[in-house]
Amino acid sequence: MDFKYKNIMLDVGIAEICPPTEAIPKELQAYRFIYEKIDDDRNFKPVYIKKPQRFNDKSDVDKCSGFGISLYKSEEHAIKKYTILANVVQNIGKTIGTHLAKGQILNDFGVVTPIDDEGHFDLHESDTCNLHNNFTVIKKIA
Amino acid sequence: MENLSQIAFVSTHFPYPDLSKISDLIYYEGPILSHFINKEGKDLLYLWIDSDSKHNRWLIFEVDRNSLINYLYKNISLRDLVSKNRKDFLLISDINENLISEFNNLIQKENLPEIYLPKEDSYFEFSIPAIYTNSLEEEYLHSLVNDSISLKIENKSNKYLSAVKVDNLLIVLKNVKQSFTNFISINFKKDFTSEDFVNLNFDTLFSTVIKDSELLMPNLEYGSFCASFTTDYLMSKEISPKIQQWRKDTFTRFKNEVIEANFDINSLQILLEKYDEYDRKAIYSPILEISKDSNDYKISITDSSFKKVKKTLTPISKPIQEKLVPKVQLLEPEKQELLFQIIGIGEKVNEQPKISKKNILETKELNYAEISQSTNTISYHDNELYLKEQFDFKVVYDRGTYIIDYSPFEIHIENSNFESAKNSFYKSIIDLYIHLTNADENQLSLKDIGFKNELLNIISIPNIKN
Repeated sequence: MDFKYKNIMLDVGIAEICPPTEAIPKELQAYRFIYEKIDDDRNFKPVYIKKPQRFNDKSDVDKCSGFGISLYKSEEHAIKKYTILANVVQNIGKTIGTHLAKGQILNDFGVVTPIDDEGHFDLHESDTCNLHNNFTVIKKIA
Repeated sequence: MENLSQIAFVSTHFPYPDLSKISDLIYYEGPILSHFINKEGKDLLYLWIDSDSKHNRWLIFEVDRNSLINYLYKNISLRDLVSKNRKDFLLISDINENLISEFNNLIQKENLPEIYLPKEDSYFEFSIPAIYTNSLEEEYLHSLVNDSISLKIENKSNKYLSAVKVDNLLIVLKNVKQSFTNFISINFKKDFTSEDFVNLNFDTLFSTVIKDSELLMPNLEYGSFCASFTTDYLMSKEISPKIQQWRKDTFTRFKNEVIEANFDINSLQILLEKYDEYDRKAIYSPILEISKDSNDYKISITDSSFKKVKKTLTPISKPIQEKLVPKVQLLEPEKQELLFQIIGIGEKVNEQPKISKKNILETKELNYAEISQSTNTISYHDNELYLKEQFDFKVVYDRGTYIIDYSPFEIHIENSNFESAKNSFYKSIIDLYIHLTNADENQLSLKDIGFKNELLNIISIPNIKN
């Protein structure tokens, strides 16, 4: 499978370890924090692509995670995380999105990392994946 | 971004040069809260609060190590770290894409826009970064020692040089612990009521607080025997932050009001007003016992390194002692009866379940239960009613109260003790029987006649002695 940001990962020097070996293709429902308009350019861009300077002092593993799209396995998990973050920073919506979107991840979208205790996982997109077409906004959360 | 021009002072320079980053404490697609340290070892937190197309806005504030530990252990919120900060002025810095701090504003805590303040519930709900765990353990032990009461126990005679008799040591440890446990119990019930804790069972909470308030000895030294005493208020995270803070404050109060107390007239008056004679006896008797002149050991309060003696525990004067701890007989504390359900693996012996202790899988405290009871004899004191058949009734347990509601005889019993509830029920039936059988049949109402027939129907032999 070819990955969408393979060339940049090569430039960064992490192509050999990224995506991580434990990430596998999977079909599952997923939830993501996004901005109101589904076609907002910021919605489905990995954070490394948006803000590479944030990774200057980060490890290769963290940089690799920066190429993944953050997703949650359930609405409850997503809302819980958002609430915790919004308790810390009331403006959190400005940086991670103000709405919750729901979509179906398919096998050919890329590979997903194991789901952690908070219901979170990363999707490393294949070069044919287009998440804009597969997600719909379900509610405002900010 | 919020306009700060009316509420903050522009700072022409960034006041915290030469910072080293320790770690991001909260990270979500970028740092949200980061910990830095400057050359002088001052700890600073950077909290991301806002952004526009060119800048990220950070709230930057100093934090002492103890508060930081308390924040990481969820004892205080981030909002408190900001709003109760020791500094009156906090820094708001607008940092550009090249990580240059372009605009700096000093703002008074009170003027901080509400949108930039963390919410009340901003406790640390994230993993503590690995870099902190070892140093935090050291800090934790250090903070336990710092907050502790340090006592030095020595023989009065030189018979065994500085060696202390084990019996004396045990008495001192036992009495300090007893005084502290009583102090915690008494003050908890003074400071809180069940209304303070919605959705929490007050008695269960009380038991948990007592259990978690074990007296610890974080530091010991031998020769003569030196020990620090304290209680944990960081590690027990299951109770609310309000309780954690209370426990910390209460240990300090114990130190001031009991161990290090000067029983002058003013302090004594405060204690007399605060605690009744039973409370005072429970708290102060164990300490007066180990301060007696006749003891062959003496106790000194020292600094945490046991080097400097702050005070020696000496007996207080008789008149003050008589006021502080008058001669009253302590009543046994009322034990509260709880109902438990035990699930275990066992066998039937003579039709009865038999489960050995080691095969108990789960013990659950119940708030509600319906308990089926049956008997062939209704007895109370010397009176007995032998029954023709097994008599069945139900005892309902509802949050500490046993209720027997037996409608055929219109008997309703409520009691906090299971056996007492059953005894009252049996007594009511026997009283009813005596009343109905002694009464003139013509005087009885239709309902009473119904009760009497029902009773005679189930009783085979009455054995009424009085």
